[in-house]
Amino acid sequence: MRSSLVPAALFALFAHAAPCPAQKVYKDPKYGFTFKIPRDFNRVPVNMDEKWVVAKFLYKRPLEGKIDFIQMTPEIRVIIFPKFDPKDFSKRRIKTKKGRRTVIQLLENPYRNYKEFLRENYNKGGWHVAEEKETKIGKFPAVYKKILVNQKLRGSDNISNVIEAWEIDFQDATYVLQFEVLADYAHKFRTAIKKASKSFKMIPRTEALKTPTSTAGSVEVTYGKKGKSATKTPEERRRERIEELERIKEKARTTLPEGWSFFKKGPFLILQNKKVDKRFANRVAKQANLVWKWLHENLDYIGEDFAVGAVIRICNSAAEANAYIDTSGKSAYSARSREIVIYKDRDFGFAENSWRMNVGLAQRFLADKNMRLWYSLPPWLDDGFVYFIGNLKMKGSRLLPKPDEWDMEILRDRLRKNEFKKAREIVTSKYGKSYNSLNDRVQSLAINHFLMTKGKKHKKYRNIIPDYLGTLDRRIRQLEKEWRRALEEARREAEKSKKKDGDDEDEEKRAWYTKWKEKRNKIYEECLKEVFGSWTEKDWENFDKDWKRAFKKG
Amino acid sequence: MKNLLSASTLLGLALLLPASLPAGPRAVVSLRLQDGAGKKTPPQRPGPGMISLKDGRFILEKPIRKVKGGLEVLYRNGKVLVPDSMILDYYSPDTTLQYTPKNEIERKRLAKGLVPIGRRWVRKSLAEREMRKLTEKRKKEIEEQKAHRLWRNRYIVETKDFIFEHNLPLPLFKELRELFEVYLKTFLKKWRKKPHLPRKPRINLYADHGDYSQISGAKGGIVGWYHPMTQELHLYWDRRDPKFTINVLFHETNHLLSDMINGDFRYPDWIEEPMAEYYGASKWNPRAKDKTKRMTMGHVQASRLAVVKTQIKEGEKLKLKDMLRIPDFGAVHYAWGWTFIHFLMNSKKYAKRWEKYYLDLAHKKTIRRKPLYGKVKTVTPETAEKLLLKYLRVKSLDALEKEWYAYIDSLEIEDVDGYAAAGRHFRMLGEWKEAKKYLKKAVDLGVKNPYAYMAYADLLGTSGKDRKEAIRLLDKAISLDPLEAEFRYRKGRLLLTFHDDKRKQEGLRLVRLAAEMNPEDWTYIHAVADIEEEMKREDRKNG
Repeated sequence: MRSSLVPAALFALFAHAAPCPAQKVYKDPKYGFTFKIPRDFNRVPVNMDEKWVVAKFLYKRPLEGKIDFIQMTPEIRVIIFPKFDPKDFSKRRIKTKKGRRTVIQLLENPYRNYKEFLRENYNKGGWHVAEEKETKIGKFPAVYKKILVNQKLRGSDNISNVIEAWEIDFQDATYVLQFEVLADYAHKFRTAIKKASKSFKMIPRTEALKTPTSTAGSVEVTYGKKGKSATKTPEERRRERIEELERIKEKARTTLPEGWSFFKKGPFLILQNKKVDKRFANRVAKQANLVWKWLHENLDYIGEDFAVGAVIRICNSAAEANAYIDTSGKSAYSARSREIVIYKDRDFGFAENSWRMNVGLAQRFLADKNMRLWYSLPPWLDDGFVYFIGNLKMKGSRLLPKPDEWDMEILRDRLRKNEFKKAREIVTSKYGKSYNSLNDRVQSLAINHFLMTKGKKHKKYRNIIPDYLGTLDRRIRQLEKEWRRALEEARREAEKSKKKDGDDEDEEKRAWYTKWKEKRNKIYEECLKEVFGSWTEKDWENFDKDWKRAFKKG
Repeated sequence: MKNLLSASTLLGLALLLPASLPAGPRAVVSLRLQDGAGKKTPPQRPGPGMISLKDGRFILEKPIRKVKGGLEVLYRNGKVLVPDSMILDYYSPDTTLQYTPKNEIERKRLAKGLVPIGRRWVRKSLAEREMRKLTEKRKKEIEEQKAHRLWRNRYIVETKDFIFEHNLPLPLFKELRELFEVYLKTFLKKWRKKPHLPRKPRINLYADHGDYSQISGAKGGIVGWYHPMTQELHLYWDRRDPKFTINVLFHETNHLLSDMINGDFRYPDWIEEPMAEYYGASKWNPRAKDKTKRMTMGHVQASRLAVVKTQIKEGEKLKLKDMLRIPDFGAVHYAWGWTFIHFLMNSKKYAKRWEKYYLDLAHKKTIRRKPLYGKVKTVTPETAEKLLLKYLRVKSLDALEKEWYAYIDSLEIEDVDGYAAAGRHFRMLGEWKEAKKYLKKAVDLGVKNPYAYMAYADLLGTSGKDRKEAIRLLDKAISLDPLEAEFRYRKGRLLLTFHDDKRKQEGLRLVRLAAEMNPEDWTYIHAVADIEEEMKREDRKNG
């Protein structure tokens, strides 16, 4: 008996005496590499659309700058640049003509190297390579780079971040192991990171390394006819969207890293970091479904199409959410258009993420229902209406429209100081002209809030938003028809003069786009005429009084 | 028989060399001497050399040959002549020159194996040894110049008034440094205020836009910036448009200089930015003998004027009252603001009054200011408006506005560079007719910027007379900057629109040459692949 207890006790003792967990080894058979993850770094998911970064790891907690007010969670990335001949790549560009249709394979030039990648993607400050030397990782040649990041644009003299990177030449591709940390802590991680780089090894790949070119999509340009998707029925488009969403959901499920789970609720697939409690995840799912229902009840009239749902990803921290959202350029853009990323904010609660989720859902809904209208909203509706939806808060099983406290504070302050413009000015303002300031945005929010709440009880104001959106939709459709006609005419002209169609058509397009703003502004004026045309000066005055009164009373 | 000598170090050699030898660029010059019998040695393919250009570009590892008027770079798809005026330095392991003996004595000396150095004739072996040393030295110097392009090896130069950090070619930097010094003097003389900044301003000059945006962190359309907290200025050299670079430099440096004399006061945007624009339109003539006349102010900002004229045409005049209250002062407002300041500074009636207003806003103690951030203060739009009326002695903004609009109507673009700038700007705005009008004027007046020719060629059609004219314009652009691949590419593309094989083949050659000259830009590589593919398809079709 005694003898059998001794080893167990000893084991327990050793386990406590050595609190440092063993270094984990990360193996990626798909991309054929392995390395030892430094202690306290955890793998986080990589965006589904990402094409260059194949693995990301975050330190257990964010670190605060010692001199500048700055915060950052140390991060490790593995980035791959497959090698290829640009000429081979260009041969794979496909441009085929099928009668009146031209199918162009949409391929983007891949990044040629790490420097180009950083130049186009790094956005945390200015940077330069302070040190560069040739080295070896295993038997492979490598280049070590120490990159210093500055915040000169923010008026700081100090180096804020340090990036250490090893570009390892693995014959058919360059693998980059990149580590980034606040400059104040760089020395603390130096040994661990160096060890990690030394442990970087190639293992046999289970899949052939894909060059980024193999993932291209295609676009179909059809002259004289409506686009392929425009000729389909709403039901057909719905089926297509559902299929697309299912593909994304499937990808989201299969690429979930360790420590994540998922569940379905209504039209949403909820992905959650297991460190986020179930109660919070359920609350998110419930609110998402309520907002979705609200959107259907209040905005179904804006288009004949169907909104199909989304993927909601709940991260454990802001750092994890940011690392996930941060996707390199020249990646795909499909999953992102259907995915909403939020996180559990343990410091400031759900308010900000609730807003982010609502806005994400509204954007998804509006884009599915009527993309054309969604992209054409005037500034007062684009800001105010979407803000209003963002501010819907769940109480029990109901949604309450409640402006954010910060917005309310500005609102009350400006009301007190009588700093708001006349409502007429806000409603008639155009992009880039006299509509710019924070005041205007807050005022738009207030007007929309009023129209969607207390204003609904007022006969004169009840239908302002539906009427405006309806008119705008009609006009935009008309404009689209004109655009197609203009394109067709350009093509015919080009054929007549036997010119190379590409150049002239481009010129036509450019000319059309420059006139677009003019046309759009004209449309806004027509909408105003139709919706507010019968309003007298007195009506506008009353409207100003009414919306302000609604907020003064709270 | 091959003798190598250096022109730059072995003094006096120039006396013996033909007049066509580069006077500007320092170069390793080698001599190929004719043998006594006067037989010419057969031409050899030169080895890979290097050229360092005055605008900061380098041509590396390409065979180069010295020819009359410059250097020839031998690409696989054609030769490109780089004129002496563009070259800063070059190195070629075997550039050769013919030395023809002038008389019988020289012929005899050559036959004996002697080589002319200065006024002396020395043994060939001695000259060769000297030449090898110099060749190596020159090679190293060019490599060093290239290494200085890396920001970690940048030059740091401290002068009496500024600290410069840069990775520019040294002669170019020297010119810019002088510009900064003259600008400072001119500015201080004008406003008669003593400069006081907590520290010496640091001026960062980057060799190109890529370095600038990467290192300074500027994104989007920011073409230069000054930060009042660090007193740092960040600018880059745009070799494609030096005039524009100088404009930006004058503009951004104005923020620094204004900061120097105005301390903790910040002007409202409608004064700060247009004043910088006013100075931004200054011209710089480094060749003027009188140093004080190298910088001239108050010229017309052609591209800004183009914006304002377009807006007026579209019936979108900016109200003066609105301008004084714009919270986010954008590019369009810069243009309107510049016309306003230009109007005031050029008006006999208002110039002095405006200058007093400008200084008093920042310095007069009795003016009420509001805190902006930290110690820094500004004035409210209401105060600025009230004082503007008081200082200019006008009754209302409307009256002033009328005069201002009338002044804008009278403004005209004043020179060839202005026409080019306006034309290119109109082109960017999609105003083809206006763009054509101004670019044609610029081209007719012989503008020096090759991109103006390209822009005009771009606006012309691709058939008949237009096409021929476009090719002529692109040829002109090529002659002004023979190393710009884009011009060859565009000319190649145009030639490909013809139906005869000869022109098509020439078009393909030019596109290939562009791809070879600038392999970094994949547009050309893709274009070559596309054209080759298309030609093959046509060949198959024609049997």
